Amino acid sequence: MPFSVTSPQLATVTVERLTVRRGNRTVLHELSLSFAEDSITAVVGPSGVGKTTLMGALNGLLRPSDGAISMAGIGRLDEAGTLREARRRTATVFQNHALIDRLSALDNVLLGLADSRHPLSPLPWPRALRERAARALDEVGLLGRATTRIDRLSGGERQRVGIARALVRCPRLLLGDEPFASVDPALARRLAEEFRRLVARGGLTVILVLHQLQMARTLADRIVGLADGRVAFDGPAAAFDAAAENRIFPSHAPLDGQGPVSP
Amino acid sequence: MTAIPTTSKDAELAAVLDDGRRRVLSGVATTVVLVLVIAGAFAYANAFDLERYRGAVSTILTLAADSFPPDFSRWQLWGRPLLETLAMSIAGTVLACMAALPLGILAARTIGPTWCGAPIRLLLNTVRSIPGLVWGVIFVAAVGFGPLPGVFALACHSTGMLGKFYAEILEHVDPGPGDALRSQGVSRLGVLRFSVVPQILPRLVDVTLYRWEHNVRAATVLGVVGAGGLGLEIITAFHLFEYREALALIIVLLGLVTAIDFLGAWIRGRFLRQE
Repeated sequence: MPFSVTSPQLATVTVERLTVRRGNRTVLHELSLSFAEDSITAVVGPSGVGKTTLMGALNGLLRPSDGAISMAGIGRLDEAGTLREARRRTATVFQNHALIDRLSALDNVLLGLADSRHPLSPLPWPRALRERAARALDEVGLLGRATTRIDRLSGGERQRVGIARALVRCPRLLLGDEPFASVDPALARRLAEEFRRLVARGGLTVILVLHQLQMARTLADRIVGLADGRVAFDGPAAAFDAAAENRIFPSHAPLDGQGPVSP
Repeated sequence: MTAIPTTSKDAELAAVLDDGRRRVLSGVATTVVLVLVIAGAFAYANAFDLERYRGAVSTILTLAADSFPPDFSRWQLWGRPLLETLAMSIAGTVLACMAALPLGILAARTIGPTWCGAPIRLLLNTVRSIPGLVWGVIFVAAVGFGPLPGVFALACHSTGMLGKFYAEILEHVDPGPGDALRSQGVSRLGVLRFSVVPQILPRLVDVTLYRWEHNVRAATVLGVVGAGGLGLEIITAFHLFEYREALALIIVLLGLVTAIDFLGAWIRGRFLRQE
């Protein structure tokens, strides 16, 4: 199993020969990766290469057709019990935000804590949970918009509500699918620093799909480049040079060509 | 882009344009068929038989003249039937709502178990196909005259309609927030409670209030088969050729329906305003 060179610590999540099909198309081909604790991994690659599919497999929304995912302290996530246990420690920031438009920002962040309540409880959200949600909104700079409905927020603000909904869970595994796509660069840098700070505090593994390569280089410890549903690059962020970039984003290659064309 | 040979690009372009022409042709064909069906429907109902319209307008005018001015002289006796109609509509709508919610959840293709969707939808269609009056006759026979059979008749007929609408509303719910909850380990029941219900609540309230307003009018018609209420008064007045009193009763009904319409709009307004 190819362990990453940058992960001397314990691996939080391990992916072994993971194959995921969507419809008739095989999106991920026998992917083997492991993600070290207290690290940030950026997943990069052209659109349609399977980055979102990898996120979906990691949080259990997509079932692998072959291979296995396991989490430290839980084991393989191929049965209902272990999957639920893993999901309780996982939080995801979704590409399309996945918020409820007619609820307030605070109520949406509270949804991140929905697994701590019985679904049939008619009681309002307890004060302690509401306070946690408000603090999470404060962390992304949106405390002032807490009572505003989502459909009155801008794209960037919605994305930050999505990030707050993930952070409020205090997860061990944080997945993000383009979490800064609709946030302006200055704010994206601030949020990235926040992620770094959380990772430095310990006990958190972050896996982010990023399309801004500059952000990937500065924020991540490690970069995984996907091409054609396979790992085409795996190494420290500093090692992701122009040659690696060309291998993963063969922008000048003919559409039906095999390899990259030298620029 | 340079990799695609020009000839295959030409073929692709031609295919795109061909597709456009096919769409226009199928649009014309659809319009022709639609016009034929509509004309056929009118013809089948003898709507083009001008002989049938002789004397129609004058008869209607005579009936209208006989109903004027409306006669409100017996208004003290209408309070009870009015309350009966109102009670029937409220109790019938609430019963229907309680039955339609679980049925709608089971019938929704995206939420309920797959095997029970089709039989539940068939049940809802059956319940809806039986006219309200027939339900009225059945329950008058079962529990006797008065508003009680009206409540059950309205509930049965409304369950069929509300269940179908609830299921459709549920099917169109955005799955994104629900997936977000599932990805963090929330159960199906939790997804229903925390994602689906908050999303569909305004539309559920909307449809249910509309059905309530509909049920006030339907409760009137149920008076015909002995289910009490304002309808019984209207039918009795008609049978006694008291057209002026019948008109007065219809005006009272109009007032009731309008009041409920306003009340519904107010409730909706409160529901949609969150902040």
